[in-house]
Amino acid sequence: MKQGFSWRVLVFITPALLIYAMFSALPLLDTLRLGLYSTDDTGVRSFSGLANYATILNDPQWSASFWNAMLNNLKFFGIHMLAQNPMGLLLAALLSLRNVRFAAFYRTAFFLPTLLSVVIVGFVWQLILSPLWGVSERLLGWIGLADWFAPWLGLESSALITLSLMSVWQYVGIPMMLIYAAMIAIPEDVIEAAVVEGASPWRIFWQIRLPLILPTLGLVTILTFVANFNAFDLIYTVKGGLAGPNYSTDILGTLFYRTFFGYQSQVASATMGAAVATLMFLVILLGVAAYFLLVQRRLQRFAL
Amino acid sequence: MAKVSIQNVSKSFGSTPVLQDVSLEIEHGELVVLVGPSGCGKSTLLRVLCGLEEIDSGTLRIGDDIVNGKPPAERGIAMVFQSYALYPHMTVYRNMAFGLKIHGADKAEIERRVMDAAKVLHIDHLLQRLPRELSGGQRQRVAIGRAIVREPRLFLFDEPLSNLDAALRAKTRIELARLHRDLAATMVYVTHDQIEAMTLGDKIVVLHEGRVQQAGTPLTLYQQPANRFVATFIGSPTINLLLARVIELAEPGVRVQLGNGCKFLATVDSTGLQVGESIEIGLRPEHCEVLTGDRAPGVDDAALDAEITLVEHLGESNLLYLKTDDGQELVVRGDGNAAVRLGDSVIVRAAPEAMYLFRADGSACPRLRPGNMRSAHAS
Amino acid sequence: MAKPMHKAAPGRLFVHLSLLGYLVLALAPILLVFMNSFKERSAIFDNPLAWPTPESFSLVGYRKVLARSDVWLYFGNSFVVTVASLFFILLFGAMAAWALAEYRFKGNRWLKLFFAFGIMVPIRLGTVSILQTMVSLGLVNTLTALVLVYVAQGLPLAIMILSEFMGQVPGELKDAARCDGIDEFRIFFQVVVPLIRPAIATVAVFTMVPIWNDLWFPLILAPSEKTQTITLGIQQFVGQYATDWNAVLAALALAIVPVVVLYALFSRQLIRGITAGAVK
Repeated sequence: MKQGFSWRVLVFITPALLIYAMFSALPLLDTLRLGLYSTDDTGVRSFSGLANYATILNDPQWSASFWNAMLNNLKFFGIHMLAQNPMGLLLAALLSLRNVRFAAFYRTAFFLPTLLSVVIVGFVWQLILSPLWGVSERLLGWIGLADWFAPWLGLESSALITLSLMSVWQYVGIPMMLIYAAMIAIPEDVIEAAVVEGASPWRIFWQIRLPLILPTLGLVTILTFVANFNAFDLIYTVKGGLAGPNYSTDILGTLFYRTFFGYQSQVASATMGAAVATLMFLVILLGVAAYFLLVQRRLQRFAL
Repeated sequence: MAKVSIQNVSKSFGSTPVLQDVSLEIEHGELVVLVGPSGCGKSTLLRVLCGLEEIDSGTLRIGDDIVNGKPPAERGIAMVFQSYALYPHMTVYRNMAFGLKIHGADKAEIERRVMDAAKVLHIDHLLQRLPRELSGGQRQRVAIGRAIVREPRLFLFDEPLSNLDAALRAKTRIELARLHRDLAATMVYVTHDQIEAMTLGDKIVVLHEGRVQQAGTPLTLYQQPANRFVATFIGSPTINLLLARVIELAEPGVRVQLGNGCKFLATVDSTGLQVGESIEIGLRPEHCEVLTGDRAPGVDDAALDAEITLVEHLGESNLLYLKTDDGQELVVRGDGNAAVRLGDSVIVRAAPEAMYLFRADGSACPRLRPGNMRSAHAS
Repeated sequence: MAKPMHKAAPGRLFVHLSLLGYLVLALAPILLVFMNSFKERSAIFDNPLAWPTPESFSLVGYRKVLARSDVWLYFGNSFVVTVASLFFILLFGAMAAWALAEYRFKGNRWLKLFFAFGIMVPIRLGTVSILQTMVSLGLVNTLTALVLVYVAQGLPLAIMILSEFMGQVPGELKDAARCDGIDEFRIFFQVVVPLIRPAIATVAVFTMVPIWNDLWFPLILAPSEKTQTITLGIQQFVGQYATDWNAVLAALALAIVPVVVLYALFSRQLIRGITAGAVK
């Protein structure tokens, strides 16, 4: 490495720094600032301190919306943790075994849904699950569960879960790839040593492979967390800005959009939108901080 | 401890044969070293004994049991891997206890065995450390400890010293020899280093291209190599080989002539040799002598005119690289005090008893008086 | 070295059954869309799971979609935005990565942290302010706005990955060049950049995908007819033609094709990139 700060370093760094600062970092800070302002009916903005936050948390209507979105987002995250990551783990574990024929083909195919636009995914599944088309009903009929079919996307009780599973379907590829990379990094002779000592495949998985990929599982968790609390596209595509039925699929991202742009009866408010965004930011920050301070350090022991 | 019997074992990977009809008997408590160049099959043979690979044909016996087809855990073996293969996320204690836990030993038993092994290997103060906090030598001891606690019938070592630096290697070699003695264990040890093989093994097995070239004690392999390959593999510096022809079968021994006309006697068994046959004469550098001053060669001795092309000083001895007048190259180990210089024309002398003779197919004619050839320059 | 699988793994049957099962789950929906996009309306409903037969084959959906001239405009917009963003991300990202990896200067660490922050915190949260900025700059409903935002979004990760790889370029190479009197810019462009080409390719591939597929910023910053990206276009189209199944299916199929084609061409790069970068 070379010493010293020169004009050359400036030239190298400035374009990136400028664009990143102007369109990513400063807007974020500005949003935080904006959340401390209120807009009155004439559109005039004035400093109001934490009034917006007080409104969101105390005003019955706002509060209900906010906590509803928050809770839904947590459910959304929960379903991803329960379905997406174990599935990714299973697929990665299977693909990282030696002598699996066509492993490369499977890997490529499994990653395809991840590359599709969320818009495509949303619509495709909407069609498949549509009671009008009847594809799902027919398929369920093959395994004798035709009666179980319901227009899940349209029902308040099942819409969120269905959308979560659609998202899981799309994004399994990412934890799969990350965990796969971690698994093939485990030295082969460590596994052989365990075989020689008499460990069964099951024991090898739980006591050797899994501990050694814990850092990656931690990474996958935090990535899932950030992505889920930032999610918007899928819900918007399938359910629109209102995130129906009856706000049962409303998550923080859609709440933000609605607050910011206004939707039907709700008036647009940049400042309230900023407040919502700030709250989202705090939630994500909390998660990331928790990960770095509590989880990541402890998992260092398992790094190869 | 058990004896091991390998009978007619063959193995191929795809269409490439890796082990070809290998047979070997290992006695109870013996330390057998499998040695050979890269790709000779020694590691495969070890893995096949271990159970990590399966053989295509033949029988493997450990003790009285036929073990081919059985998984490693049922063979009563323990293996020390080249890169130690310690479980990175477990402490030294847990690394050593892992195998015992699998077989259901109770806590007290595990503790006893681990502590005993740790004390023997001087790692008892490291039990709570993780592998990455240990030096290479310490990791190796943990790997050995892991094998010891299982009290196996057979120990397998896969090039355990190759990842250590030279000083540590020599020290650890001695400790392994001591360990073998203390445990009275049957051990199969793989290495590519012939010095390790010679110093550690009760019996050495030289492998080349999947076949056993020779199995015997270190001294036997040195003095009576079965073929050219073994002769060139064992001994450092490598044995000198000179092209020659048989000119007379003189009991006891054979009279030969080199390309440059030099004639001498080789004290080897002449059974099967024909006059006029093309052969190779082997001469170990330590069995040759550079004649100085007024000393003359004996009547049956080999006496070669050569020029010194390089001198390597090793302290108490030196290595002289020479070229004869018909272009054959030789290495001679000489006295470190001798006053020889680059470019000197000298006579290289060797006694008939020092000769090795190899026929065109590589097989060796047995030496009649292998004895313990005293280094030429000592006499 | 072939090793029987039963030693350290579950049975072969279980493995293949599971993998095949998931394969069906992963690919069937896509296949279904393609199959039915080529069918007559009645055939779509009567027999959704059947391949198009000579009787039921129809291109009516495609005709409807392609008849709208905007489809090509949308593709063009997506293409321009993606390529331009990619170009600047790689250029400015490589430059910044080089500065951070190679030169020791005060604030180097803080700058690294500053950029790293952008990896974890989603840029969308600053949308309120971004939109205001764009309004004041007069860039609303321009592709430029999208490019600026995507570049800002993609820089942190690109910088992190590229500086990792740049750190691995042997010091001797750079010092030798310096001894020869070559100036820093030349060293960067002609020595270092060619050496990290695989890393650049990898960053390109997985920066490209989120940009092409993004819905949020086109929706908020550039929703006008002239500037819609294909993703936004599809979303609007399908929303509009919701009951015209032929058109909808054809539109979806058309949207999938570029992705599949690019993926088929670049999958090895992409996967290698993710598995390599994952260690970080």
